[in-house]
Amino acid sequence: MVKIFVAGHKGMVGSAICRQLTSIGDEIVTATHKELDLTSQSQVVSFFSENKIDQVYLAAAKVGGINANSTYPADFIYQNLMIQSNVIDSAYRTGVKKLMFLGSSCIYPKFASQPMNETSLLSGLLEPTNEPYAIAKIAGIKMCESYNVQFGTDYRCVMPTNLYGLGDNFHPENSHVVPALIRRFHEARYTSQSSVVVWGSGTVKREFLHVDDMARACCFVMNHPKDSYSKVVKPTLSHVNVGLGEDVSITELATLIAKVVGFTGDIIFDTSKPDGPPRKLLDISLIKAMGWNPRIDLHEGLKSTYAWFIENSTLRD
Amino acid sequence: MTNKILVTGGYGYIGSHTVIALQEQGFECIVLDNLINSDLSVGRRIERVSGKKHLFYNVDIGDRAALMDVFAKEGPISTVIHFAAFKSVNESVLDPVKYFDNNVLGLINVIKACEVHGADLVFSSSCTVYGTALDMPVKENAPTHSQESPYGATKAVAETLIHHAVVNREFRATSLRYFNPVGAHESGLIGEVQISKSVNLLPIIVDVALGKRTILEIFGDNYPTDDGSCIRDFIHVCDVAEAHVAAVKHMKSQDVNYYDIFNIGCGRGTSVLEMVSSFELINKVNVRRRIVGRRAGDVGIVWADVSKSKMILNWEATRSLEVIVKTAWDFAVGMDKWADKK
Repeated sequence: MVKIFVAGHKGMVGSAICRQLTSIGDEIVTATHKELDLTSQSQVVSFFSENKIDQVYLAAAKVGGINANSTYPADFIYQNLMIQSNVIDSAYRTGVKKLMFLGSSCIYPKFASQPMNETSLLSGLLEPTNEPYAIAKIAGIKMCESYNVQFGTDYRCVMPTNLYGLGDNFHPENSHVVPALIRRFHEARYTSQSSVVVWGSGTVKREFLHVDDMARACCFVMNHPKDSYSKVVKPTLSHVNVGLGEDVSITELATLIAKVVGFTGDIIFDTSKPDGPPRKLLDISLIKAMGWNPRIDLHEGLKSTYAWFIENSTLRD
Repeated sequence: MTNKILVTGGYGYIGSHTVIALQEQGFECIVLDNLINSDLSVGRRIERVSGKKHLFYNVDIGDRAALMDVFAKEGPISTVIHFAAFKSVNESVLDPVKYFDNNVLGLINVIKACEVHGADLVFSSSCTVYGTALDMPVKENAPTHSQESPYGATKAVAETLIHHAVVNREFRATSLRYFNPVGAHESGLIGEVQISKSVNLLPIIVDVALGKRTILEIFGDNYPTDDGSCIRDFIHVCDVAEAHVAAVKHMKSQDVNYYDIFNIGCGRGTSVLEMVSSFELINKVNVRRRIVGRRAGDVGIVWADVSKSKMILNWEATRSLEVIVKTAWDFAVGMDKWADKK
């Protein structure tokens, strides 16, 4: 039996990974923020030294939207660099052979050609609003690769597209587009509003992956046999994109969410608000070639996410 | 004085049993291991057996800076028990430099740390240093021979190194010369994990009984012994482990610059054929065997004079041959089932 540490087990991705691992039957270790401050080097190395961990899923990070990223850039770069440096180095120091580092599609240049392939990493300038966060994530990839090269570890990295699903943050102000729209459409329906305003033109296209698919991909990449893995990635270009492989316009997304929620009023696009880049889609041909495919389409994923929101919304407010 | 013991190679065969024995006596253990011949599940099983926690660091003993880091982080360490070493005689013949590098350089790093931090040292030596000694039972003052295998030479050189190092330095040291450690912990959770195919008698017997090897080859039936097979001093690994606890305790009452050497055997010879028959009898299994010619380099009869260990360390082996063959088999069967479940 394998003992696995899931860092960030309370987050959306971490909790999905725990669900995925529990179904396999491995022993999972977790620690709350109170028990273990991942930004403290001495606490992290003691934790690893005490727990005899075989594998790590590093899903702990300070995350946030555009607003939080531009207000607290120091927090984003400092905390994320500390968390990943402490976890990766302590893992190596205590004999952890396998580690999965979770990144983000924001590591790719602002003007990367679409769909974004793994090779576009460090080929251009980053989106300035979340550059400190993206730099930390890129450092995490390079740290894993460097430890693999120097110490022979098997630390791997996956880069997810936009995620949504169970355990998402439905906060009215600082949530991502899917939970924000679910909440707005839901409230509009139950307060009998005739219309919902969506920011931007609605024409930009985005890709959304259900978090359970993401968790499955994490475990898939982690357990992919080393010899065939080293045939598909290079030691210094080893990260693997995870996405749905197709994108939708914000108009299509809003229409689909309205349908799932049962909102029948008008959707109004506020074109005075910024749109962001016209398209952000990951090229997932690498992980597909390894044998993984997404299973949850957007409609189905939104239905289960909405059901979860209904059950849990009062608890979280 | 602190109760902290640093155990290098603590997830190895003798190391893991020693950690348990130390914890049973109230010592706090910090384990260093590079996991090349073991894995972290050994640490978790140690904790299950002893019911006590220990700290673990994945450190290669050749990395002096990493070793010093552990001393710096963990504060006063009273004793280092240094097991971490390569142990295959055959492999040492093929790659002697690898053996000197790991076994001697590793020890030098440990000695440096002991000097700086005033920690005592217990060193894992081997009866191999006696070479083909003629007088049995062999005593600690018998001449040592370093020319018979590179492995044995690393142990002889290491003992010489320690002998000189303790002079004018603020620490004490003990070398324990093991004879033939065998068997496993009675819990069935800790034992000799075979990463590669062993060339030692008991692991081969176990493999034949499990059907992993077809037959046990007995090298020679014309030695000057009762049944013609070789005689060795087989000692239960838990007895070996307890000898370390005794050595740690004994050293504390000695002056600095203390250094002494002890035989760790049961003081009794067991023939190879005797071992096979008790294994079959106790475990009710059949071990197919055939007699082949003598193996080059094998000594006919070896057993230890353990009177010095008894008198000075107040230690002696207490576990019988029956316990040895039973625990070895229980552990092997348990590990085999465990491997199936994976």
